[in-house]
Amino acid sequence: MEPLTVALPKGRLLESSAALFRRLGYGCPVDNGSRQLLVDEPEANLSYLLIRSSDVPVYVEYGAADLGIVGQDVLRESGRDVYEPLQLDFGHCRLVLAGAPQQRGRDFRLVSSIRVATKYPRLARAHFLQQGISAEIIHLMGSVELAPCVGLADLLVDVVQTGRTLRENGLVELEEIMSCQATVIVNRVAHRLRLKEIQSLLEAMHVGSVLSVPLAGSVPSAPSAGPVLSAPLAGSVPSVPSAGPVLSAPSAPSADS
Amino acid sequence: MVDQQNVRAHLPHGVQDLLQGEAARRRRAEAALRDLFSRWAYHEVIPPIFEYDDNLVVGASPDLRQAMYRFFDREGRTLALRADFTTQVARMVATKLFDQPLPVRCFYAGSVFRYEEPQVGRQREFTQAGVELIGAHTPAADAEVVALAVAALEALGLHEFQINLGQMALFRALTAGLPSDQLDRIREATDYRNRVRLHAALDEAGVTDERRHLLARLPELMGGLEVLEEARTIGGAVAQAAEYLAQVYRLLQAYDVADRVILDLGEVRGMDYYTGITFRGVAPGLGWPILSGGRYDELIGQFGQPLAAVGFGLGIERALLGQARQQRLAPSISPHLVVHRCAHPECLAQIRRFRQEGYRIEVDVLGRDGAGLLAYAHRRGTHHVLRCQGDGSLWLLTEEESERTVTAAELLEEMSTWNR
Repeated sequence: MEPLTVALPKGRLLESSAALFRRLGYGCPVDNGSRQLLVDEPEANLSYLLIRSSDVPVYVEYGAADLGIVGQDVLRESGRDVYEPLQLDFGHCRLVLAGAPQQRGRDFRLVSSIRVATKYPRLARAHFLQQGISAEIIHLMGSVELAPCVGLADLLVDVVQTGRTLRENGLVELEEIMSCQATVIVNRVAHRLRLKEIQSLLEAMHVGSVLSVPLAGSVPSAPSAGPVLSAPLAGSVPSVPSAGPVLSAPSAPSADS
Repeated sequence: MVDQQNVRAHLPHGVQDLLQGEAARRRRAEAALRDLFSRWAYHEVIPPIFEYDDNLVVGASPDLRQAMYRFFDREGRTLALRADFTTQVARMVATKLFDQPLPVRCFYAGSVFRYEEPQVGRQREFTQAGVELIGAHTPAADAEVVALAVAALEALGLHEFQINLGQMALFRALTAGLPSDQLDRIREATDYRNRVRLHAALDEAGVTDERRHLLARLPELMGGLEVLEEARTIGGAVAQAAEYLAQVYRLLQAYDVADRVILDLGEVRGMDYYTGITFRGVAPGLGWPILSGGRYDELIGQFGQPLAAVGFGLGIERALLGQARQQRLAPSISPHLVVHRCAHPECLAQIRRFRQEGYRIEVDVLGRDGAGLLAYAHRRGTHHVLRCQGDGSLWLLTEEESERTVTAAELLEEMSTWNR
C-alpha cells in the first residue's frame, strides 16, 4: 500500500503539527529549518510534504497530498473544495478588522469606498459584501500593519494572536471576523478510497490533540476550542502502535460544544 | 501593440486543441463508451450545442447557472451553450419521447461548456458522456445504471476505481420539515464531513431525537449493508429509504459489481436535484471524482411530463487522466506502412485491401526518393517503407537498413505481427 501523504504548513503551525505526529508515534522529523521537502516515514506508512501554508489546500484538493493541516484562515481564503473532518487544539488566532484608533465607531457603510489592505482578499471582500460596505481591497503579501501607517490603506484585515503587532504599530482591533484554529483537511477522493487508514489517523490525531493541551507555540485564546470532535469516529479501529495509552483515554470529551 | 503572430498561437483560457495522439485517445474512449451503451440497449441522442437559456437553466444549481456561456440571437432572445446534458435530455423526453414505450434508455457524448476556472481534466470546454434511464422508479433501474457506470469505467481501461453510493431520500427523510437555511447548513457540514459545523447546525435546528444521532454519524457511515442498520430502526420514510438502498446494493451483488461499490450515506451533494440514490466514481491518483449520477425524479416534470429518471455522466478527460496514471498506453496513430508514390491500378487495389484489413497505409504524394521517404517515415513513427514492383503482387520492403522483396500475402502476414 502506498504511504498516505500528509501536507504540513511551514511557519507557525509546523512545530505543533510535527509535535502531534511525533507524540502519536508517526515519526515526523521536520521543523521550519528543514531543507528536505519530502520526508518518508516508512514505518508509519506516511510521507510528509513541507509546503507553504497557502499551498496546503491546493495540494490536498488536487490529491497530490491525501490530507493536510492548515489554519482555517488560510483554508477559507483558498476556497478549495476539501473535506474538513477535524479541528485541532492549536494554532488559535483570530481574523480581525483593524485600523488607527480614530477609525473606531465610524460607520463605513456611509463612506463611498474605504481602502483595506490584507493578505486575505477573498475573506475581506466577503466580509464587506455581507456588511453592505463598499471597499477597495489591496492585496499585500506581508507586513500589512504598515499599510494604514503610511496611508496606503484606511484599514487592514489580518490574523492576530496576541495583538502585539497591532499595538506596536499604533493600531486597534475594530471587529472580529472569524476565529481560527488548525484544521485537518482531506482530499475528497482519498477520503473515499482510503477511509480506514484516514479514519484511524484522524481518531489518533483527535485524541492526541485534545490530551496535549497546551501545545508548544499554541495560544489557547478561544474559549470553546476544547472539544473539537464531538462524536467518536464510527467504525475506526485505531491501530497505531505507540498510540495505545493515548487511545485508552475517553475519545469523546463532551457531547456538544 | 499586440504581437499578431503570438496571438494566433494562443487560445482563450479554458479551451484546447487536441492533436494527433490526444485526439485519438479521446475518440477511442468515446467509441468504447458508445459501443458499451449501445450493447446495454441505450440509444444515442445528439442535442444541439446551444438552445434557449430558459430551457437550459431548468433544474440547474445556482453555480451552474452562473457558469453558463450566454449570448443573444438577432431577435434579442437569450441563448446559452449547454453546461450539462441531463437538462436537454429531460426536455427531449418530456416534449418528444413522452409517448414512447417506457422506460426510455438513452445516452449522449459531447462537449459541455462552463465558465469556471479550469481544473485538472476539466477545461471550460470539456467532454461528457452518460446515460439516462427514464420512466422507472425501481431498485432494478437504479442498479442497472450503477452497474453500467462500473462497466463504463472498466471500458475506459481503468482497473482501479470505486463507486460511492448514497441515498438522498434517506437524508431528505431525516431532515424533513426543517427550514431550508438550517437544512442547507446541515447538508453542507455533512458534505464537507465537518463534524464541528455539523453538530452546531444540528443544535441550531433543534434536532434532538433519534434522527440526530444518525444525522451526526452520516459523514462516517461508509461500508456495506451494515451502515443501514441504524436507519432501519427509525422506521417510516427513513427506514424505507434505507431498505430501497439495500435492495439496490443486493442487486449490485447479483451483478457481481458490489466489490466496486461502497455505501456512503454522507454523499449528499446536489440535494436540490437528486431525489433518490446518488453516486460518484473515484480513482486513485486523481483528486476529483470522474463520474457522478443519481436519481432525479422531479426534473422532467418541470418540462411538463412527470417521469422518474436515473442516470450518470462522466468526464472523459478526467477518465483519460486516470487511465494515463494507471499506465495505459495511448493508441498509436502512426501508419503501419509508408508507400512510395504509385499510379498502378493493381498496386492501388492491393493498398485498398490492406486498408480494409484495418492497417493504416500512407501513400506518398510528394514523390520523395528512397532516403527522403525513409527519413519522413521515421518522423511519422514507422520503420516500414514499401515500393511497388508494378503488378500489385511483389513489393520491396525497406526496414531500417535492410531491403527485401515480399509478396502481398507475406506482407499481410508480417503486418499482423507488428502488433499495433
